[in-house]
Amino acid sequence: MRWIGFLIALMCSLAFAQPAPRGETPAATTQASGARFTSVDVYVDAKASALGAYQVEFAIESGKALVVGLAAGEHPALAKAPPYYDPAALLPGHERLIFAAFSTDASLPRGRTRVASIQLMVEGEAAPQYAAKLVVAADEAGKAIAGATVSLSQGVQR
Amino acid sequence: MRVLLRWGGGAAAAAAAILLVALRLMPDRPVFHPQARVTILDAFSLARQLKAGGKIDKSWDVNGDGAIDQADVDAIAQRAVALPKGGTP
Repeated sequence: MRWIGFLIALMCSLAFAQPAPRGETPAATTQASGARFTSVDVYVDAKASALGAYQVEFAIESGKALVVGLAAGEHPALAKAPPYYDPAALLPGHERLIFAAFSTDASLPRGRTRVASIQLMVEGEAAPQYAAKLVVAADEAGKAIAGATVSLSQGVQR
Repeated sequence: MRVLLRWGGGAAAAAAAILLVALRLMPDRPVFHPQARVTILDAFSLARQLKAGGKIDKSWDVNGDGAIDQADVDAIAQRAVALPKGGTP
C-alpha cells in the first residue's frame, strides 16, 4: 500500500513538471522581459587645449534602447546646465541624439573630460551598441581643436 | 605755397594709407550666416561677443525681437542640435 502511494506521487510530479527553456533561468527571463536603465558617459579629449565648446552626435547602432535623459559634464564650466539637445530625440523611434555645450568661463577643462551622461532605457536581451561622433570641439576662442576625440563608457546599471 | 601744398598732399596720402591699413588689420565683426550649417560654435561666438560687450552685428538677432541677447544664443544652439525633420530619425 505504501508503494502504491509513492508511485502515484512520483507520476504526478513527473506529469506536472515543466522543463525550463534551454540556457535560461526563470530569473533571467524576468530580467530580459522588463526594461532596465543604463547610463553612457561621453568623454571628449581636448588634448592640451582648453575645451570651450563641443558638439557630439550619438547613435544607437543596434539593440533596443531609448534615450530618456541627458546630464551635464563633470567640469564646473560644463556642469551648470545640461547640454543643448533636441527634445524630440527622447521620443520613441529615435536612435540619434545631437547634443552640444559651451562655456565662456575662464577656467575650462583640458585633456579628457566627461562632457555628458546619457540615460537610456534598454529592452531585450541584446546589449545595445552605441556610437559617437565629434562634430566639433573648440578652444576658448572658438578655434577648432585639432586631434580632439570623443569616447563612450557604458555599463552603469541603475 | 607750393611747398605747403606738396607737404599737405603727402600728409593726406600718408593718413589715408594708414587708415586703410588699420581698417584692413582690424578684425571684422562676426556675422551670422543662417543659410550655412549651424553648429554650437555659432552660439559660442555670440555668447563670447555678448560677454565682451562690443557692438554686435544685427544678423545675430535670430529671433527677430530687436534685441541680441541670451535668447538668441539659445535659439542658435537649439538649431545646431535639432534633428532633421521628416528625415531619418
